Amino acid sequence: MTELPVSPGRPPFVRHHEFLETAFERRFQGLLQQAWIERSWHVIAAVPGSGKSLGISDFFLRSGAYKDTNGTTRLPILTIRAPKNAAREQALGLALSAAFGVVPSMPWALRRSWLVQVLASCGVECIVIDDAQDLKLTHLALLKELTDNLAAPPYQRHIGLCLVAAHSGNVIPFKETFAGPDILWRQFRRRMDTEQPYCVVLGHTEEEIRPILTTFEELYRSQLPDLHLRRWSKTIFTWLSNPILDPDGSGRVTMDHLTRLVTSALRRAYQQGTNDVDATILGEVAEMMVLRRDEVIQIDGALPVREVG
Amino acid sequence: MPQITRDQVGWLSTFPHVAAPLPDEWIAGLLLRCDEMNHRESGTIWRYLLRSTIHPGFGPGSPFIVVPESILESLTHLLMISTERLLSTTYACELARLYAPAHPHAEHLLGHRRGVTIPPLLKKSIGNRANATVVGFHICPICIAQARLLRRAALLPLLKYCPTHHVAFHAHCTCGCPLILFSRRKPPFRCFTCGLDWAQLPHLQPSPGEMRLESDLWDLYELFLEQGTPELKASALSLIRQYLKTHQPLTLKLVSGRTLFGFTADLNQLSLGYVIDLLVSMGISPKEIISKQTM
Repeated sequence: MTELPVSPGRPPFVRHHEFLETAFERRFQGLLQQAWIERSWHVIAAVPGSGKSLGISDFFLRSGAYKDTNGTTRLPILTIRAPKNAAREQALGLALSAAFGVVPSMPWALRRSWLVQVLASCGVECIVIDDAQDLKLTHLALLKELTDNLAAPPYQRHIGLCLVAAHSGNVIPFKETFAGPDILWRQFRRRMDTEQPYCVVLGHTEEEIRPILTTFEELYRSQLPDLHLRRWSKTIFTWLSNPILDPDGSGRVTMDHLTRLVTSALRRAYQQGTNDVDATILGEVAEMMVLRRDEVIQIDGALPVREVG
Repeated sequence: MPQITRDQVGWLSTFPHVAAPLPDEWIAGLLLRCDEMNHRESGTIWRYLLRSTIHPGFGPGSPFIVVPESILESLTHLLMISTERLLSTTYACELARLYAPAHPHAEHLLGHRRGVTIPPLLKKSIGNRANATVVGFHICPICIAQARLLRRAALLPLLKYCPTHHVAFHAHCTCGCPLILFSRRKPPFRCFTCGLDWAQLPHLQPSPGEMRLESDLWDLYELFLEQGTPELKASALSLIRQYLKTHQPLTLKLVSGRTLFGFTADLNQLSLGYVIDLLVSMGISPKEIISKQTM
């Protein structure tokens, strides 16, 4: 891959990382909101790169969590990432504890009951676990135990639970597990929402891509004054819904693919000194993403200078 | 009230529940309150601070009158409060002003300590709960009941009654066991033996004579701790010398129960507790000290 020449006198291309409230995010955050309000339990799945983690982060930041120096702490939404390569329940317990801040060490037996106390005293109303596909059965059992203890006296607090997982194909995470005959899973299944226990949040349609491209135009207007991305929405959708990028054949486009295509094309256009992208640049990037995505690059000699951003 | 929101870095570097010091709160009381708010056993945060900082010459048995900077700094991050507010939970600033240019030290208030004596009962007790035995530790049950408050004033030598509520300080539980500041595996603010909440200890009123004595002691402490300077202390010591010259007592029985036979010590090395013991025993009032300083 050769680095394109930088137009003289232009500052480096600046990439924007703002969270965009896309159609996917509205659907996804709508489900999280529902779980929060109704204290319902859901398994929410979406393909990798949809924007689940960003959506959870944004939802969490808007949930009104605070710590007051009078001792009051409010954490209505508790979000964590599922522990990786750690099958023991302690790993999930530690991840849950860490979300509250600094917790001096304590024996696991004590931490179990401490977690229930702190979940209640911080007013936790919904637990959202990202990358939930990594959860083990022991973790799920601990979640049930904690939520059951919270629901019992003296706390009597019912809390929502969202297991947000990446999925592929028609396999819905946990569906088979919860359908198992064990009492634990039957109890777990009983706690799931009646109407929407397992949800798959779909990516973007062609119509939904258009407003996103409009937002990108606004974001990068200062760097590419004549930017007009909307006219390419159909073409972009066709490229990004290619079976290579959409192996499940959902006919939808993920935000990750869309952002990669647009920012790479904009960077190239900027480096070439133009004020807009054209079909050639977009086509080159799309080709790189679709046809040459697994291409091995030989690096030799001096490393090419790469712009920051 | 200042708040920490989730998008701030402070969220993850503070305890789940954070507390700011109450007026006149003692740092050890603040730590106990944090333990209680965070559903932890008594002394958890204290032990965490001891483990996570370097503090040469400080540790178990400390009277918490002056606390090392490393511990204060660690606590400022854990509670997201200013160093000034934390310093106000010790007597470091007051003693620094009074004993300038010397570095403030607990001995400036309490006098020379002959090591921490741990009662035999505590030596035998489970674990090392006696680690946090503070000599003369006592509490006002009303302060505890109202705000889970351990006042700095309870540290002042000779005071036997709470200057705010005028009830006796308790150093022992009704079961007879001494009150331990930090006891392992026990909830904060409770007797480590019978589990009685310190707030439930009886309210014992002082006699009129005791009331007068407490008032005299408190007035002098207020003067030295709020307006104290080396000059003010020099004026007080000058009055003490003058008293001894005029009255030439063979022996003088002090309020603390000690007996004064002679007065040859380096006056600047006397602890504030001892100076106030002398002043009250000799009947020297704050007014006289101020007028002496003015002269």
